[in-house]
Parts: sequence; C-alpha cells; structure tokens
Amino acid sequence: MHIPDGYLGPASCGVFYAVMVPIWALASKIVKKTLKAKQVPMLAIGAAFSFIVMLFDIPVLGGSTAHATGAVLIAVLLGPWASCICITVTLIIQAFLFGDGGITALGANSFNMAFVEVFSGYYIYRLVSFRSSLKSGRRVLAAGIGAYIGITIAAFLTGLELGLQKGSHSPYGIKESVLVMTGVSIFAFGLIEAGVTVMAVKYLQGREGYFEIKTS
Amino acid sequence: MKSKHHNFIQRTIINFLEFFKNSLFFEEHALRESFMQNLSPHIKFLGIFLIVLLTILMKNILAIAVLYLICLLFALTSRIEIGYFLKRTCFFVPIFAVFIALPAFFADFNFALVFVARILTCVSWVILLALTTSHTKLLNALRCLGIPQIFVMTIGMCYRYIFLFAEVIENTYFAIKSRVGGRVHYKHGQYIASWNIAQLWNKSLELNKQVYEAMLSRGYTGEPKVLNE
Amino acid sequence: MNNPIFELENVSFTYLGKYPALNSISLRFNKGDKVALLGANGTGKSTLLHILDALFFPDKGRISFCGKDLHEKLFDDEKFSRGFRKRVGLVFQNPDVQLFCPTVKEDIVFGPLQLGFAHDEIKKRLDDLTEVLDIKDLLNRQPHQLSVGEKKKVSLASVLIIEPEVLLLDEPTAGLDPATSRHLLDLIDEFHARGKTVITATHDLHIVPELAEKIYILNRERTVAGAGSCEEILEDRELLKENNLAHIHKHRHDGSWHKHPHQHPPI
Repeated sequence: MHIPDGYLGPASCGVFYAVMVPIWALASKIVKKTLKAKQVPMLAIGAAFSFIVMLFDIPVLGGSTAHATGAVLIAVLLGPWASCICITVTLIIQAFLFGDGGITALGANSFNMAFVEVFSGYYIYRLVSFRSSLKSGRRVLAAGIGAYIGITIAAFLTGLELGLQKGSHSPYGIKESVLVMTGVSIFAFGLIEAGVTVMAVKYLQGREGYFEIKTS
Repeated sequence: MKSKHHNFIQRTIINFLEFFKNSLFFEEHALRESFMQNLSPHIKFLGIFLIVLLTILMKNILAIAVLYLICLLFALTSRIEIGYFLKRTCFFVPIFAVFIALPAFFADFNFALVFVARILTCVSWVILLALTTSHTKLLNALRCLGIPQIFVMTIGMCYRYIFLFAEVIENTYFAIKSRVGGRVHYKHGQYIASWNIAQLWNKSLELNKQVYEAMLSRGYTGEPKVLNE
Repeated sequence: MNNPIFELENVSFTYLGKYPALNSISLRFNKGDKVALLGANGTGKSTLLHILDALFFPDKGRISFCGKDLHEKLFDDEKFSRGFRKRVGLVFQNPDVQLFCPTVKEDIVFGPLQLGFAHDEIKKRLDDLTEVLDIKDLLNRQPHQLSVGEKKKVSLASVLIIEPEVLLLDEPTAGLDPATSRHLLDLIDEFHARGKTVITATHDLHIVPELAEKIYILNRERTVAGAGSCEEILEDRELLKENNLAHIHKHRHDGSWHKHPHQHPPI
C-alpha cells in the first residue's frame, strides 16, 4: 500500500500533508501527556515491529504493493494515537532509508495507514469487544475483525487515490486500481493481517503486563 | 534440489540481515569525508525534497534522465560505489514499479517509461540523502523543521531497535540451525520456530528496556543532539 | 566527614510483582566513600545500583539523595533530572547495553551532549579521556566490533566524560584480562582520589581491597548480611563462606586433587 514518489501529483500530496499535520500534532500532544517514561520504548518497539511486518510485501499489478501492517494490533495494545505515531515513524524510516513509499507521498501513506486504518480498525475492535473481559476470546476475535476491516479500508482508499491520478501520474484508472487493491486485501492480505493480529493478541493475553498497556 | 532452494533462502536471509546490521546501521558511507557528506544536512534535506518535487512534475523522459544522471554523479563524487548504489536504489521499488506498470507498457509505452523513470529518480535522490547523512544529523534537521520531539525520539530509537531485531533474528536463526542438525518434521519445525520467535520477542523487550535505562542514565530526554565539528 | 550522599531506609523492590530483588535494605553512603557491594549472583546488587541511579524506584521504603527524597514524579522536572544525571553515573554490567550509537565516538559524547555541555568542553574532555584510556584509535569503530576489554573501557569513558560526583560500577572487571583490569582499577582509584564517591557491585574478591574501604554484603534473602571495613569483612571466613563468596581452589598434587580455601588479605 505504499505509494511511491511520482505516483501522486504535487497537489494531491499537498492536500494529504495538510490533513495529516493537525492529526500528527494532536497525536503528539495526547501521547506525550499519557505516556509514562518507561513506556517510551514501547512506541519504538511498535514501530520496529510494524517495520518488520511491512517488509513482506509484494507488488500488485495495477496498484502498488500489498502487505500486512500490524497497525490495528499496535492500536489495541497502545491506543490509536500511539499507533498513529508508530506507523508514521515506520513509514518515515521506510521512505528515507529504502525509498519504499515516497517522501512527497508520506502524507497520503500516513493518511491511509497511520490514520484511517488505525482508527477504523480500532473503533471496530472496541465495538465488537464491548464490555468483554480482557482475556476473553471475544477480544481476540474483535482485534482480528478490526484488523481485517481496517486494512481493507486502507487498501480501498489507496486504490482510489491511485486511480484518481489516471492520465497524469498513474497508468491505471479507478476501476482497476480500486478493484485490484481491495480485492487483494479481501482475499489475501486482509486475512494475513487478521491472522497475525489474532495470534499476537492471543499470545499476549496469556502474558502478564503486556496486554492493553494503553497510552490514551 | 530441495536443499539448494533451502540454501538460497538461508543465504538471502543472512545477506539481508548483514546488510541491515552493517551498511544501514553503521553508516559507513555517511562517515566518509566527501562531497555530499560535507554539506549541511538542512541544505541536503530541503534541496533533495525540492528535486523530488520537481521530478514528479516532469513529463519529459529526457529531463528526468538528466536529473537521474546528476544523482549518480553526486553519488560518485561522494565516494559511494556505483554498484552498491544501483543495488540499493534499483532493487526494491523500481523493480516493483516495472512489474506494476507492465500492462501499461503495451498500452502506452512512453507514459509507462516516464512513470518508472520518475519513481527511480526520486528513490535514488532520497537514498543518496540517507547514505550521506548520519541519522542523528538527519533527526536534528527534522527536529529543526518542527517535527514534534516524540516523533523524532521514536524514529531515533526505532532505528536502533530495527538493528537489534536483526541481530536477534540472526542469532535465533543460528541457534535454531545448531539445534536442528538434520531434517526435522515440519510440525516440530513449526514448534521450534514459534518458540524461538516468542523468545526473540522476550529477549528484545528485555534488552531494549535495559538500553533505554542506559540512555536515561546519561541524561536522554528524547532530543537528538549532534556534536558540531 | 559524615556527609550522606545516599540514604536508603527499608527499601524493597520486586520485579513484576513476583520476583523479589531487594528486601528492606537500609544503607547509607557518605560523600567520598569507597564502597563495595559484595554478593553472589542474584543477590540484588545490580538492582540496588539501578535504584541508586534512579532508573526505577523502590516499591517500599525511601531513598534520598543529598537529603532529597527520590521518586518518579521528581524526574519529570527537567532541571532536577538533568542535575541528577550530571552528578550520578552508572557503568552497566553489560557494555552492549551501554553502547548504543553507531560509533564509539558518538557513544562517548552522547552523555555530555544530552546534558547540554558546551561543544568545546566536550571535545576537550573527549581528547583527554581517550588519551588516558588509550582508546584514541577506536573512535570511528563500531562498538559492536570491539573486544570485551575495549567495550568496557569505552563504557567507562562514556560515563567518566560527564565527570559525575558519584560513580556506580556494576562488575567493572568481569571478563577482563589482568592488564586491562589493572588499568581500569587505576583509573577508578584516581577518580576517587579527586574526592568522588565510588560504589562498586562485584563478587570478585580480588579487586575489592583496591576498590573499597567499606563493604556491604548482600545475601540470598536480599538483605544486608554484613557491613564493615574492608579488613573486617575479608578476614571473616565464615561470613564469606555463608554467602558463597569464599574462594575454594582445587589443584593436583602427586596425581590426586586437593581442595583448599584461600584468602584475600586486604592491602
């Protein structure tokens, strides 16, 4: 789902940056207030974990790339605002060190993966797991569903953004890119994301002190 | 036949990890005294951002090619081996881009060419920035641009954690290899692998907690600081 | 003379609520002291040093530094935190934990940079320290590639450069060859001679006479099992044996093995 430099026109890039700047500022304020000193490494670990998860990506004909993100998992553990920061950090490192994801497209990539995916997945998790105990199976299921829907929405948006650039920057139109990106998510990467999330949540439920550390 | 395939995967994993650990984290290119390395990180950062912006506006394949060649030239004068630079810049994203745009090459060749060339040029410039600037200087530049401290701090720590993760994965891989002498039943193999992954997670957490304490002990507040030479 | 720098009153600490590390420890360290915390593995020495360095805080009891009670909220105040970090330095047992920058030079200057020292001052101290420790040619190396001895020296340098008033050392000579050990001990001695306080955690009786005038022994129950001057403790063979600190040597004589304890008389 990383959009490289050159795939989006400068105007679109500008719009996404403009949207993300206040979100990032808010995330920074909220997380700083609720984060205790000893939890700081958790942010970096979350970002590093997401980085490794995102390494396993494959190109999608007609779209960009498809991969799991771990975004909703991190949101479940640390809260959505912290997850927003983590995923943004991962995207920044990938953009600068590997060119994976453009620096002009950072705003758009963050919007898709660090904002929409995180918050939609997280609130679906909250909805489905409403009032169930922290160690229940419903929580695990909720996290999986949240992750699946979150990543699929992000994939859909990515396809939309790419398709809208037809003629100027993208070789494909909306129909193709949306279909391809969303389809790959529904049938492949959405399931992998859900699977990884479910396994991790189940594992952490059994361990003391790691589940729902919550920074917001 | 099977073991050849196996060895290829093993070698790829090890190469990848070594790449992470050595060229990425230890910044050998950034330490060389040469053209790009001596430019101020702020200038490099803004300059390259503008070049990238310019590139995505271009539609003429020749113009884009010129920008790309200038990038290669800068890389050469900054004592970056051209083979390494090409591997670093062409391996990942541009190859993906070619694959993604494959059908378009049949429909509108020129457009597809410009598409791939743009991506290649942008990626090359950005990686040139990363190779010739030590990460603390880059972080400092980001901070000066107004990026909040919590982002800069997390980027700095994450950068080191990725290195540590790579180390632990590598050690775990060798530990598994030394434990599992010959062939092993796949179910048992899965068990070993997942046990080791869980250990990896635990060891990382513990080690990283200690490193953070070591940072706090020397007054770390999350701000990137660089010694001006 | 009796100028307390650290005072601990009934300090207890448990890891993750389950694993006890310190059990009602009451200790007092005065300015200019040269103290060794002696104890077998797992007796809480490292934990105690971490608490002295305010990296975490006791579950029960109180700890004070120069009369001021230390607790977590206090360190939210950047001015106090910075002041404390300048005055107290901890050299960790595992140098890999302490060396987290891409080059040796960056690791050494990390502390003073974070603490806001002037760049000229930092460069000067860097030059002097690397000269004394003989690590000038290691500056651009990756800490990762160094030998244990070199890592320990760099580790020590990264703390000494701050010139703290209190130096906390966790097993400073573990794994070192005799020459490097000697070098490190001389440095620490010199440091103390300038009026600083040195608190060392170790189980190596060989170095204790040089590193300490006073000894506190920590035992398996995580309490203080003995306290006294260097002479008193090192001559108390029963106490040492009880706490797994007595050295029993085994060697061959005429084809058979023979065991005997040996002592470490104080200097």
